[in-house]
Amino acid sequence: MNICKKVEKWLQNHPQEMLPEWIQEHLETCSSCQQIVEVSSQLQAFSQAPKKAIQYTFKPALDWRIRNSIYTTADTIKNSNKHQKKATSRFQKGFVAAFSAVCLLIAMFFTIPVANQNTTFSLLLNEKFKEMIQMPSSPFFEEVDTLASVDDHLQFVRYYCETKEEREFLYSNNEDSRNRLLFVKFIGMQSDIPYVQIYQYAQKDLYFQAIQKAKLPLWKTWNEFASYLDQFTLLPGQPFESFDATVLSVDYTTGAIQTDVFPKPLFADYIIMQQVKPFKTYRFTIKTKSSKNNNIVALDLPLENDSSLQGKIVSIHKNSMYLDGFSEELFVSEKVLDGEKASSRLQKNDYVFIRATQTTQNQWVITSLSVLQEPSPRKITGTVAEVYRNGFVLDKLEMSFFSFSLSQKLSQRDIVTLEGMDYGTFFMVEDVISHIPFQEEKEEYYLASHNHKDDEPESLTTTPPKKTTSSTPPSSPRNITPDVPTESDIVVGIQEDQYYFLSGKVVSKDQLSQPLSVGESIRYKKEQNSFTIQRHFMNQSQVVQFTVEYLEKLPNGVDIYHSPQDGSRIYVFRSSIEEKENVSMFQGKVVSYGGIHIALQWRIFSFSTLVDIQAVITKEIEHQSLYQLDNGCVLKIDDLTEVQGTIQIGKTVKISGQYDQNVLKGYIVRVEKEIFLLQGEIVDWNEEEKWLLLDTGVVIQLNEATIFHGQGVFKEGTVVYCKVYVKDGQYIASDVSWEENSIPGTGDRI
Amino acid sequence: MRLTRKEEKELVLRAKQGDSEAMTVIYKEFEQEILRAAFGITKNPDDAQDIAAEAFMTFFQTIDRFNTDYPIRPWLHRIMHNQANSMFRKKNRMITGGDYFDNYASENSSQTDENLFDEEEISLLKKAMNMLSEDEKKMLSLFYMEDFTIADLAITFCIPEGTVKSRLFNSRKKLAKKVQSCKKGGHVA
Repeated sequence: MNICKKVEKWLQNHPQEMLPEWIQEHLETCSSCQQIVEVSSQLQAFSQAPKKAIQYTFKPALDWRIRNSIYTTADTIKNSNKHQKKATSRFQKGFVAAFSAVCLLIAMFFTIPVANQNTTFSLLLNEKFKEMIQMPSSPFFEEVDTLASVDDHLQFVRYYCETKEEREFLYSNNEDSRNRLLFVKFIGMQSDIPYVQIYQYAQKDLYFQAIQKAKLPLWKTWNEFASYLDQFTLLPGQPFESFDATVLSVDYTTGAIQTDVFPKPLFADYIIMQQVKPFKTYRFTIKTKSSKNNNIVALDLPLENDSSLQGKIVSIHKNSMYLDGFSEELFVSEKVLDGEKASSRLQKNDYVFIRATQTTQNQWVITSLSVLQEPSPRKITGTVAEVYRNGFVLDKLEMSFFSFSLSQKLSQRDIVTLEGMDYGTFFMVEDVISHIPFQEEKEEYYLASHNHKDDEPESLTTTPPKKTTSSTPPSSPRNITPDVPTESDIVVGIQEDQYYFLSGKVVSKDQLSQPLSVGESIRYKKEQNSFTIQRHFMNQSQVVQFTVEYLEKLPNGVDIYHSPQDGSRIYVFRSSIEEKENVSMFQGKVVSYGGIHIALQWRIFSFSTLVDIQAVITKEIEHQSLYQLDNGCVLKIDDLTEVQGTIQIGKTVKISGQYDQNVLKGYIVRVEKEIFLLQGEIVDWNEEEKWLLLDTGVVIQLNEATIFHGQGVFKEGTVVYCKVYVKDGQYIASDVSWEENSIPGTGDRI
Repeated sequence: MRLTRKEEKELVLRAKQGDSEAMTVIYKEFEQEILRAAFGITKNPDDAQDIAAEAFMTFFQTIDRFNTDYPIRPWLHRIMHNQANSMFRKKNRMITGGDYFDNYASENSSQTDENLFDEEEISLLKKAMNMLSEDEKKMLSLFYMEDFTIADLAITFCIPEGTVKSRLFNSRKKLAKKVQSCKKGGHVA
């Protein structure tokens, strides 16, 4: 540590003390330290100077209100105390009567509601919970770039509170809201009931009832929550450690935060987890010696403001390196690399994240270095499972997504297509296309709660930002500006001059700024009576087959079907089926966005209306579409037909379809396996690799069943009869016997 | 003379028992200070009166739950600040430009004992102060002008004492840079 650092440390810890001699000596030669000391002395002197005699007093009306409030409060407290005393006195006088009532009280204790649906037992328990929730918790830290501490809760709160009143309650009572919100989140994560319901109980201090509603075991939940709070709370006297570190990744599902300082992750509670962003440097305070995990109890601005860089190593030397796109040489000490030389620890083309500082000689010195997986551009579609302040999690995908501005607009169950950079353990979202139109109310809260800097419009860029030379993370490019209301939708159908949208809207072609196709996902801005398309794209179409149930009809006539297998929805424009059966089969070409399928071409049928026949292909009339069958019919295969196997002349096919005059339109065509009977003497066989070599030179692959049945009997010299079919050029045995007539079904099987 | 910690604790204990006289003493003790701080935030005497009054009423209405181990001042400041936030939200604006040091300006700076200041230095310091962030300004003014201790600031800002120290130091460091910049007539972003 150089002398300036020592001085800084001393000044930091002794803000108002006299300067020791060694500092005074240093000040004679160091102007920067001198400036700090000088300004401190000025402040000190300024504070001791006589103050302006400005008198601040309340207006008489307000003064009266405060005094009135004092007297009312005093009366309330006194009355409550008197009531308690009287009750005690009565109890003493009526000791015998009270004794006889003990049994009754015990029963009432657990069963009879005394107030607000509370039994005495639950009242006591709620009181205990309240004490725990109101316990002066370890400080929670506002994120450094928010404007007001109370706004920290805003993004967190809005996911749990439906009504304005609830939100306002939390804004004005943020004294104890951290623990209360942790309770809401803790119970919500363990049960299926919505956060807002738990919140409503917690708001009334009905914690016992909230746990009951969530159908969770009382004492276990109590203990677990107390232990959870304890993990992330720093009580007076408990040891802690503070350090600056840059976040390398955040795992929302476990709360694990990987930093460039510790090899092991740090763990955060639900509130701190909301605040951290990858590639941003913070001052972390963790509890030490009290837990096996490094639990974060505080988050703050970093003391040091190093620059951060990320990129590929283009050349590497003994103790220095060059990064792709950064022309300065970066010096790295062995201390940073755990005692190793840069050239032995790192390789050319490694993708690294570094923090570096510039020395007075203008040299760049690396203070921390981490090797990352090189990010690659990727596009993912999925359903939003959980939304956090700076990111979100998708359903069935163990990855955390970071979108520092756009995620604010998302809600659970929204279906989104994401574009961005995949870092392996997490995903930096550059663009979000939501397939559910945003709600206006969300926009309003987004604006109300966010730092204005974040709200500045940014232009859409397709080049992924790879390097930054500041401690702030690369900003997410986006093409939505909060002050311009935009909406997302999908084109489901086009008829005459009108477009039919997924949202149920019908829009005239004249109103749109450009032509669209069915299946296109769009983002548009509505201005008066016209729609300006800001962005449109379409995923690749695919042929699918689902069992579906009819769900409902949108106001614009689009039919919605539901797939019970995976819960997805199929949107069909005018399916023109008058009687919709409960369960049908959907076969069609669709464009999919997560669990939403937009039908481009389709047929919906039930198996009861199909004919099933078995026939042999005798001739191919039109390449891969028309075939002559041995029963005289013609089989027609179209784009939607599900064909299982390869159709060839001579092959037997099972067809489910519908007759159209003399042509059988195949909906499902299964090509039967070609079965051969092979005979021979076993020359060699391998149980592990599951094959049999016959004296005819044929190798037959066995499956688990045939191997099992042949155990101990397969041996060289035995004559066997094998029922086989051909798959990928190999003979696969479906049955093996030592007598020809025992296949299939009769005779002794091996 | 300010109340000692012991006197303050006794007053709170009495107030918790419903002693209106004790509550009134507390009210009068902190009336000026809270009003001054409220004015520093709002720059509007009417708003300052409203939020300070709300802060006092909230404090007394919940006095029975107040933990006597804690000092009153930082809590009152926190409640007042929350009231200010709440009011600004309703008015759809944010706390900006609090000119705290104006409230504490010297009566006649050239007559200070050590003659450390002249008018120019004061105006330089004020100018530099106004270039700091809202929290930095607030922290410095409470520490130097209202004699808040590190522990008081920790409660007011809801952060550990270590962080208070580091923030105070960083604010002073930043202020020193701004003062230098103002002296040169330049501007530090």
